[in-house]
Amino acid sequence: MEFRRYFPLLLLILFVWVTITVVFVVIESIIVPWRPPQETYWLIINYLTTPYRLDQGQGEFWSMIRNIIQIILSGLLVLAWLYIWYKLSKKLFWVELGKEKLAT
Amino acid sequence: MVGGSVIYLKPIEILYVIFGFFFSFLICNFLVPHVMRKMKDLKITGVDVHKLDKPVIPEMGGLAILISIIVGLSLTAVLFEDNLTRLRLLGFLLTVAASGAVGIIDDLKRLGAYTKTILTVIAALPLLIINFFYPILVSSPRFPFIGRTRLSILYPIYVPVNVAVCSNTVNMLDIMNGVMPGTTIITFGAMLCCSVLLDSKTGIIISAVMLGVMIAYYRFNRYPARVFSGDVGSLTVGAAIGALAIVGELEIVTVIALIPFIMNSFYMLSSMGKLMEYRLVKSPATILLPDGRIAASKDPKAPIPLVRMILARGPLTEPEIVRGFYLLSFFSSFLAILTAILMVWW
Repeated sequence: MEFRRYFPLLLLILFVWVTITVVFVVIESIIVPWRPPQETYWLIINYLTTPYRLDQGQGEFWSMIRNIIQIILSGLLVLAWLYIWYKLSKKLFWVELGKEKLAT
Repeated sequence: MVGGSVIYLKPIEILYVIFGFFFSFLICNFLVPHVMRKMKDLKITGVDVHKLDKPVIPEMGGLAILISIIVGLSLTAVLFEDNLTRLRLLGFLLTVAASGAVGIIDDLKRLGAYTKTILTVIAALPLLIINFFYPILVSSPRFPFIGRTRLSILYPIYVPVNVAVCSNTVNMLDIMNGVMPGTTIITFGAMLCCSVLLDSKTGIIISAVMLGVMIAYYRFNRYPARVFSGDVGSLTVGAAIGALAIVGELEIVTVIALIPFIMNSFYMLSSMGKLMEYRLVKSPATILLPDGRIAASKDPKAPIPLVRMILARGPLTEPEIVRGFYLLSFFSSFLAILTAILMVWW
C-alpha cells in the first residue's frame, strides 16, 4: 500500500479530530456564559417588547448584547472551522497533484 | 457516567452479548443467499460499473441486514432484564426499522435527494417520541475534557438530524464492493471498544449485534460482490450508527469514527454545491480504464468524493481502493478509541 498516497488524507483526519475536540471545548466554554436562567430569557423578551426600557437596569441590556454576540461568534467559529478544513484539503491536494488533476 | 470497566455487565449478560453476536451472524448468513435469489427472480438487479465485464448483481441485499438486526437484537433484548436497556433498544430498533423502510421505498421507487433526507429525519421520530414519555432515553452528550454538556433542551431536537446525517453519509460511501460493510465493521468494532471503555451497556449490546450482522454480510459484498446492499442496506446501517450514538451515549466517539464518511459527504456537497443523488451526476468522479483499473476523472465539473482524492495520485484497482478506505477507517477508529480513553482520564 502506497503510504504517500494516503498521507494527506490521514493528515486531514488528524486535523478534523484535533479541531473537533478544540471547537467543542471552545463552544462549551462560550455556551456556559450565555446560558442564563429562565427568568433572564423573560427579561430579554420583556426588554424587546415593552417600551419602558429606561426602567430596566443597564446590566440586563449589556448581558443581552453579550449573549447575542457570543451566539454569533460560536456560529462563526464553526463556519471558520469548516472553511479552514475545506481550504486545507484543497491546498494539500492542489500542491501534491497540480491544479489540472483535481480542479474544483 | 464515565468509568473504565464493564461493571454494568454481569457475567450472564456478557454471555447474552456473545449470544447476540453469533445469533445475528447466523441469521444474516442464512438470509443473504435467500434475498439474493429472490432479488434475481424479481429482476431487482444492478450493473457493477467498476468491472470490465459489467456483471449484473442482485440488489437490495441490505434487506437481509435489516431483518437480521430486528430479529437478532429483539431476541437479545428479551434476555436483558432492566427496563432502561430494553427501552433504549426499542428506540434503536424502531428508528433503524423506519430508516430501512425509507431505503426500501428508495430502492423500489427512487426518491429525490431532498425527499430521502427529509424521510430519514422523520425516521428518527420514534426516538424522540419515546424520549418525550421517558426523558431518560436521550441524555446530553459528553465530550473529552468538559464532560457532560448542558444541552438538555436543544439536544433532543438534534437527534433526528444526527440519524439522518449518519444514514445519508454511509449511503454516500457505499460506492464499491465491500466498502460499506468493511468500513462499518471497523466502525462498530471501535464503538464496541468505546462502549466498554465508557461503560455503555446499550452500546456494547448493539455494537456486538451489528458486528455479527456486518461480518456475515461482508462475505457476500466483498470484492467481487455477489450482492449489492441497495439503499435499504446503507440507510439501515447508517441509521444504526446514528441511533447507537444517541442511545449508547457515544456521540463524540461516533463523530470521530465516522470522519472518513463525513469527509466524503462534505467534499461531495462542497464540490457539487447542492444535495444531489450520485446516480444523477452527469460527470462521474471516476473512470474505468481499459486495463480494469479505476482512475480519477479529470473533468472539472465532476464531484470530488473521497475516492477521487485517493485516486488523484494515479489509477488503482478496485480492491486497492477499498483497502485505502479501510486504512482511513482504521485510523479514524483508532482516534475514536483514543478520544474514549481521554474521556475516561478526564
